[in-house]
Amino acid sequence: MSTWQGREIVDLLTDIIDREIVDPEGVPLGRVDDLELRSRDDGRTEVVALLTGTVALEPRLPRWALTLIRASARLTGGPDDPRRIPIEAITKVDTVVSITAAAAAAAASPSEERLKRKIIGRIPGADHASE
Amino acid sequence: MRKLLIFTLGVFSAIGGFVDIGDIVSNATVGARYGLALVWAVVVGVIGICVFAEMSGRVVAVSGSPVYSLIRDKVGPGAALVNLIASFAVTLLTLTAQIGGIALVIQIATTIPHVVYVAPIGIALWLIVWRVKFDSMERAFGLAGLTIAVFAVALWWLDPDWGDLGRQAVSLSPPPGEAVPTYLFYAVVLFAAAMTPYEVFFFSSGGVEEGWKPSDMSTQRINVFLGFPLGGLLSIAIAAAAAVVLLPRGVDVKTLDQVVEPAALAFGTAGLAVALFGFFAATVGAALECGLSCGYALAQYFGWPWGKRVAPARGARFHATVALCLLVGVLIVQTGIDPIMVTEVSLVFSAVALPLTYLPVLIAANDPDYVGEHVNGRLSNGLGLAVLAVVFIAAIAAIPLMILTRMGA
Amino acid sequence: MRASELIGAPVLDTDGTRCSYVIDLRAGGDDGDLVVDGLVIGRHHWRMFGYEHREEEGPALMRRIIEMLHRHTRYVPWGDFEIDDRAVRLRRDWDDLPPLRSLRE
Repeated sequence: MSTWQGREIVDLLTDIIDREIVDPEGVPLGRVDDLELRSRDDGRTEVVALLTGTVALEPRLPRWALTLIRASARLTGGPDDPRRIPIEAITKVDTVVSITAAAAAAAASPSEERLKRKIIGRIPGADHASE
Repeated sequence: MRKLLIFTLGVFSAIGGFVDIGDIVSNATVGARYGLALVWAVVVGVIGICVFAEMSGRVVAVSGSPVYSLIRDKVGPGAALVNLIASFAVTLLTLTAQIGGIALVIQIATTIPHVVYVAPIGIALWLIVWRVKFDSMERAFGLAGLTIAVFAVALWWLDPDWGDLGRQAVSLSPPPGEAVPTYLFYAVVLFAAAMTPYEVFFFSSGGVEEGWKPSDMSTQRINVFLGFPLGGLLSIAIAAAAAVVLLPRGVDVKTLDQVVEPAALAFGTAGLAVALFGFFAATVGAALECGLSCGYALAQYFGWPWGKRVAPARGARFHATVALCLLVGVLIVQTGIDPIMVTEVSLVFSAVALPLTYLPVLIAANDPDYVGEHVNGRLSNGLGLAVLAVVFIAAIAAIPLMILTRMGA
Repeated sequence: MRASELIGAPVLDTDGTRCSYVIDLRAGGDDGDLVVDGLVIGRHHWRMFGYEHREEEGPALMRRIIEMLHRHTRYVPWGDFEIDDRAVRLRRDWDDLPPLRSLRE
């Protein structure tokens, strides 16, 4: 039987969706908020990309939560378009989904970047991990 | 030798880290009112935190997934968001209570009203979060918190009727003349104080910060199984000292001065100073744990980079969250609201938020994807389910009991 | 299409009545691609927490509760349903679908 990332069966919700996405150093850059699917020529459906970002998460949240999520996204200058990570960029799937360095750089969070540039990065000592 | 030292440090910091303003206030209040007749609630709470801290530690050591990550993985974004809002609010409230506690301790030491100290405390806490290494922070405050043992020494020095204390401890019912609902209300409060959600958020995220591996599992186990019960004993010592000194005089504990009285009675100013130092360290340590836990929970739900192991510039949203939470805590205490009351309210709502936190931990600790061969044995599962049953009962009973007894009045 | 459009979507039986919901998408490898093989469908939206993957996973009590909740949960392979307008239409009667359990055994 054909496998994917060493698994015979991949239940998309149980095994991939909601998992943390990490770069090769293990630093998280989001969670799998949704998956992009595509119909192939043979009529089957395949997974083409991971989607991450609050906008991608919205359809999966109860309605009462949307106001809250949107307000918090605006707080950091968002909401931003979902970031899309092509499925080929996945290097490993266990309790987290690891992706290549290039894909991680391409999918870096814009709100993290804005907050760093405007506030946090300006505070002395921001570039030193406390280790 | 070095290994032994690190190991002992771990146990000691677990002991000191267990006690916070919630444990201090609730144990003193209960000790002065019921003697040791509610010790069983502390014991159940300590068993609970041990069982679940051990499970979450094992999950972190094998998979590197901290508790909030598990919650999102296991119950999905909707239910996890409900839990996030509840736990975040409770942890923020607990943080507020600790900041108030620190200010009260300094007030007792200097006799200048506590509101003066709130802003400097907030800034100092933020600087520690921003700059200090994770394990130095953990150890310094954990070890300093050990001086709370002065209550145990004071108890021994005062040499009370031990037989009587023993009889109180084994009685599972309120003393004559005390109403059962109020007694049960305090049982829920003590249980929640031992099991507050931030403890597992912090413990498991700390494991990620310290980079635990499967080989660290046995050390962590001993830290948990020695450290937390000994921390529980410190809590019980505070209750017992209150039972011996305050109960006979009919004191209703309303302020922190009353809590430290037994230490002062036994050893004068020196005793008072040591007790205050212990409280100071314990509340500062707990404030840091709560502040970081607010950031951990939010960052793990959304998958942000987090923690002290990444430079603040890489974890901008995490650091902004922690700083904002400290600010909110400072502002609430600055209004002059009674920190003791904030503490009690935070404990009641902790009890309500517990089930959704602990259930995913139990599931993950059984899932070979997360723990490999180290899945729960029968003992862990049996205890885990039993504790979870108590957690559910406490969660359901907490608010009705609070209303019924008017906060244990 | 997004996975979230399918997960939780109502499932209509061959006679057009709503019989269940999509609980999960079961996929597998196909020459390096990840292709959806079929749907896990059940009477309610509740998750299975990974208990569907392994026979022995504990605690026994939790496992029993999950199994009880999912006693009607079934698997419908690709080709036995069509997707239209956010609903899944079965081409085979719900009653003829294999329960999910038999897949593991």
